[in-house]
Amino acid sequence: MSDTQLPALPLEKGAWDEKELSRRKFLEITFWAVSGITAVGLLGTGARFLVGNSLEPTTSSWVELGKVAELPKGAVNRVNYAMKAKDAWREVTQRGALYAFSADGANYTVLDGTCTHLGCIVQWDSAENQFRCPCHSARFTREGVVVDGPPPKPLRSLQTKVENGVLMAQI
Amino acid sequence: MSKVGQWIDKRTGISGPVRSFLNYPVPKYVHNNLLYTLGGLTAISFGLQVITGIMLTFYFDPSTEGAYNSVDYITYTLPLGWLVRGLHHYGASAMVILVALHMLRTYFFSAYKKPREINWLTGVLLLFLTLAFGFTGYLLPWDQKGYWATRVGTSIAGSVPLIGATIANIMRGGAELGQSTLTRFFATHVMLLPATLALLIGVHIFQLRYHGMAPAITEKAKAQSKSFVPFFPYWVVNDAIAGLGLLALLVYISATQRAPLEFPADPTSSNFIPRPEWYFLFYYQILKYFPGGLEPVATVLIPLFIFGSMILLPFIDRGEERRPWKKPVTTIAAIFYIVVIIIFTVLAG
Amino acid sequence: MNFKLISLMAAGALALTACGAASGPVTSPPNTLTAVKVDAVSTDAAAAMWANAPKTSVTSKVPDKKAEVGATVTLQAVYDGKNIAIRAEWDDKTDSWQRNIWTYDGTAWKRAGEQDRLALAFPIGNNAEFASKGCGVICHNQDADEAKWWMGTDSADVRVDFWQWQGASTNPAGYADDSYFSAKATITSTTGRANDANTGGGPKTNAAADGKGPAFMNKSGVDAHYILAGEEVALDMAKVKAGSQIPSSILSKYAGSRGDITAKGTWANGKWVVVMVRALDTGNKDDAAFQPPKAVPFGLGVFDNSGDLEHAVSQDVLTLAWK
Repeated sequence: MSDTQLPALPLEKGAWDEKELSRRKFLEITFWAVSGITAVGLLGTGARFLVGNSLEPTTSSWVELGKVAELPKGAVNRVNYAMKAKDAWREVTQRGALYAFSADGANYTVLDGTCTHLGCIVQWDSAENQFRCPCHSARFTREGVVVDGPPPKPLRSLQTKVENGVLMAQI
Repeated sequence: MSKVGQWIDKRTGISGPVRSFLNYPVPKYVHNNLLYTLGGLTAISFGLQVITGIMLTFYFDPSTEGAYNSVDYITYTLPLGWLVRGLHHYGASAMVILVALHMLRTYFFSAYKKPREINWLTGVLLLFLTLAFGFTGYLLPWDQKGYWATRVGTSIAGSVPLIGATIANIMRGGAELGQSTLTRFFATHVMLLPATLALLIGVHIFQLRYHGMAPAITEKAKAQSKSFVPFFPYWVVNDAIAGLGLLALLVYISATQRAPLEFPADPTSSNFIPRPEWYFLFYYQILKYFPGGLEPVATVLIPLFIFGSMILLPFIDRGEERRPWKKPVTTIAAIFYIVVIIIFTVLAG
Repeated sequence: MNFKLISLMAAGALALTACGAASGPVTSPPNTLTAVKVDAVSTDAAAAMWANAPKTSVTSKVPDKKAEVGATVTLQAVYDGKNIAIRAEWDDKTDSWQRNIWTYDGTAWKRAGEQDRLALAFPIGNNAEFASKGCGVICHNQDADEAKWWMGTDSADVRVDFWQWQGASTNPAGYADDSYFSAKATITSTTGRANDANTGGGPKTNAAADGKGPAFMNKSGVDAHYILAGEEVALDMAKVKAGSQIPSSILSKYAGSRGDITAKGTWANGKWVVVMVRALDTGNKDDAAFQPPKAVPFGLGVFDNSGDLEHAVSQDVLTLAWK
């Protein structure tokens, strides 16, 4: 840029200051260097700000699902949980849908009802003894294994424990 | 010029640029062809979205707790709220249709050829941004359809190999849809995208003025390429009539069919079938044919191919020929795209 | 060229108007009750206004472990500028009018008996869970002991409007009982249900000072099915024999919010036909306000001679839409 010839100013206006012009190239280089560094700084800060905490691993917590005595054995029970959680700056009641099954009343399988394809909530089809996703007709076994349809992974199985007769799962 | 006009001009120097903008010579073959109003109509529909959008932000609450109730208030209680929201909702669909029609017009008239490649590229970017507007705006009412469509949409982004999870988390502001998602979609929809689109439209129109209209194609049009009319009032009147027609149509639709608002978002509902807005339906349908391991083909390769082919078009088709009937490859390619989109949209519906 | 543009748009506008104007009979998607606009609504179940109102069939099941199938209720709805009328028709072999009736066995009076009812539940304000899952969200039935089940919400801010038409207790006085569900008032409350405010009226208990029998009877005779306020006369034991039945309430409509649903139900040939009419917006905080064309989710319960638990309820969430 500083190589380009500056157009001559009209005579009545005056003329370019020759003494100042000798520093033209130096000033231009300094300007771009400082601007470049500042821009990188601003962009970097901006990107970090916008990403925020979105890449933080989610903290898991134990949530109560219900009294073991009230969950019939041998059947897949849909359990809804509600717990206080933090959603960014809000305190919200986080709700979710899980499916709990136990053959003997002591050992439980708790599955996250979120379909691993695109996030819809699956339904339990007791007639077919399978989970069915209403979005793309995916099918999972009672243990969450994919038998048909587009999901790439089985349903997420959660850690469980029974404390004081209450079934809990780690979400 | 009047005395007032002269006073203003002496102080602002604005009469020169304004005159040259308004007196721009429009060739008669353009003036006589209605198809050329599509570009202006697209800009008018964007202007309508900006105006109605700004009005809506006076009442919209971008919190997960208040969003639905605020949109409910606008739609059913606020005087003329149904009209402003209706114009915005149906105007969005109108803008997508107009962008597509305008793009098809420039495509078939080969207006992307040298030296107008940058104009075409800014146009492709404008198309992409318009779709981004639709995607981000859809979530804002925080109703069932917005919530679930975004849940599926971010999951699709998340299924891109390697970087998918990071992209999805940044889009959502976390691992799940929540307050962070709503505010970043709102900020994008209301601040980032409008500013970017306005800037790009400025570049797009400047490019158009700089190069002038692309040369005429038919013999009849060529005969009219040496005769001109001034942009104002001739072309502006055309655009104005078309714009008023669009506005009338949108008002009519808003009055007879209130802009839809489904029931509030329930993240635990298991019987709501997510569906995206109609202009994404074809892609939603195509996804169904690529289950499991083939998914990256649909989530990465197909969009890459579609946008890639649009971006590379001016560099692939470098011949001098502009008449579509003499360019079977590009003509058939476009018809193929259109037919595929229509078929898959119908299949999804 | 301007002319071409204008004529194109005029043609388009004409086509659109034609599309909009040509509308045939109103149909309703499943689980949706579409209310049709008419000139004026009434409680007349046979009125001409029902002719264009599409019918919606709602199946029901009792939500206890036995899950018996209940009646299928056919619903229709119409509305005018001020009120909405909902018509319900369902099969019921008997007209169960003996709600808590006094029966004389020859020596003493005993009170017993249930009644037929129809209930509708509408969320007050926007309620995401109710809208996606139906009135099941206000049913707290996790306890193994069914006696501990209760209906209500989990927060005092969340309320559900409850209309209960009762064949014996409210129908003769021409109204349906209007109450609402909210959170339990105190920790020891057994229900989240609260009655709407009222400024008078309502049923009065028909019991003698010692509580062992009725104080009044209907002036028309001992075996009247109900006693409306003003029809009561002192009990005349000379007219009573073994098996005689006397209603244990003297009925009248509530004044105020609790009595703002007018109702008329008729039982004939094994069928109940009930029409409930209420203002679209009563202005009361304990009522759901309707703002056509805003769709409203709702739930339905039908009771065949039963009390609280044994009601058969709609299985999917229902939607009240407007035309």
